[in-house]
Amino acid sequence: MEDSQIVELYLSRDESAIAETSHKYGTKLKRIANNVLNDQATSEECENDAYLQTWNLIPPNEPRNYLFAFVGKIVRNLAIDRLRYDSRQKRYAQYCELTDEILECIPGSSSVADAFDSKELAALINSFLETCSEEQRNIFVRRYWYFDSVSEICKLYSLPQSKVKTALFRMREKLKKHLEAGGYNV
Amino acid sequence: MNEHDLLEAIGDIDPKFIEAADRPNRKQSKIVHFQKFYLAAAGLFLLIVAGVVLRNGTLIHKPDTGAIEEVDEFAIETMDSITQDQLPTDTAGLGKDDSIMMAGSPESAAETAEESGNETFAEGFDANGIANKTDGTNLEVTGANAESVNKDRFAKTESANADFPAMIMVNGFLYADSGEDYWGTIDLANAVPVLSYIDGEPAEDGAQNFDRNSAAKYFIIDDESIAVDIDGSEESWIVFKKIK
Repeated sequence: MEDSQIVELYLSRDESAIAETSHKYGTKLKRIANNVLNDQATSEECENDAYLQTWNLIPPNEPRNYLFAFVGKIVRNLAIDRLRYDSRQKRYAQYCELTDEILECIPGSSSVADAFDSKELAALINSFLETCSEEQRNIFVRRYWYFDSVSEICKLYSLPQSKVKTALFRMREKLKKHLEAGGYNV
Repeated sequence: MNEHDLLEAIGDIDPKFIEAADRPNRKQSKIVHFQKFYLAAAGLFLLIVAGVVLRNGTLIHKPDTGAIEEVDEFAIETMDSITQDQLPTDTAGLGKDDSIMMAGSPESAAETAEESGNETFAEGFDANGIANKTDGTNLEVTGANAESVNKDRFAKTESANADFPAMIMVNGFLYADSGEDYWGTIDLANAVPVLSYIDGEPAEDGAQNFDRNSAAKYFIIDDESIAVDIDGSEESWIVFKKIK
């Protein structure tokens, strides 16, 4: 079923919308959650919570052309929140690795640059991604949006590990400069 | 702003980037390109090797008497004799290739050959020659390809005209190459491999003088003739006639 048709089901409050979303994107959504949490059961909980949130958010939102990105963002945020909650008891290696990597992109000390507009920051990241090549952009998105491991990215795009790692390193450097240029500076 | 905030902000990127990253990769990796290259190179190498092997194999099958040169000379000699002596005067001045083009009139060429006493050439036209292949209509034998066509014809019958024709002894009888292809049903079930190679005239059953590798096979057609696969390929069967 097309995304627009599924969104129509949500808009008409038809519960089959959730089944259709699960049928079309369930596997991918669970994978995103599992990439963050590394736990099947918790990932399934996140996936189900994401369907509920989607049900509550459509309407007023009408993501007719980007339903996967819409639900994916929800499941991603839910997984990160769940991880933050759980990480009070234990630290997850995968997420720590990701946050350590992304820390390299933050200009200045974190305590100083607290005041920021998340939408503005997202716009800045979008403009940064526009400047990258398609391959670099895809690698970046797979790593920091889908939370895929480097080896998974290599497999997906048939690239050597060294190339993916180098591309990610350079992009982090580039993003840092881009954020500095965008006003996120000490 | 901390790393968590930045990761969350990345979650808000344009959906088009998310969709694009989710599409299957259309670009092949360099490794895959190289694999294709290797395959092509391997194929080319095999072709070259096969060509060399076939070429050498053909030479091996020739008798020791320098048959290749002999065939060429014979062909040229025959063509020349027809061109200069037998053809009408208005074509006598044509070159060798041009004279071969006269084969486009098969009856006259065959008659001419018969008159000259050249049985091989005459039989060729009657049995499996250009006239039969074209029915006198379509096949255009030009100066460029006519020579190769005629060489092939002479090469087929060379053993029949050589000092030692291809011979094989079967059941105590000696059979010699008639120079004719066998077009009947191939009786593979009863095909018998030859036993040994011998220079000169075979003197025992299964002995032959044309295949040093002894890969050839034969089967009996009737009391007077057998069909022989002279190279063991099971593709080209030649009729051998009983001579004694």
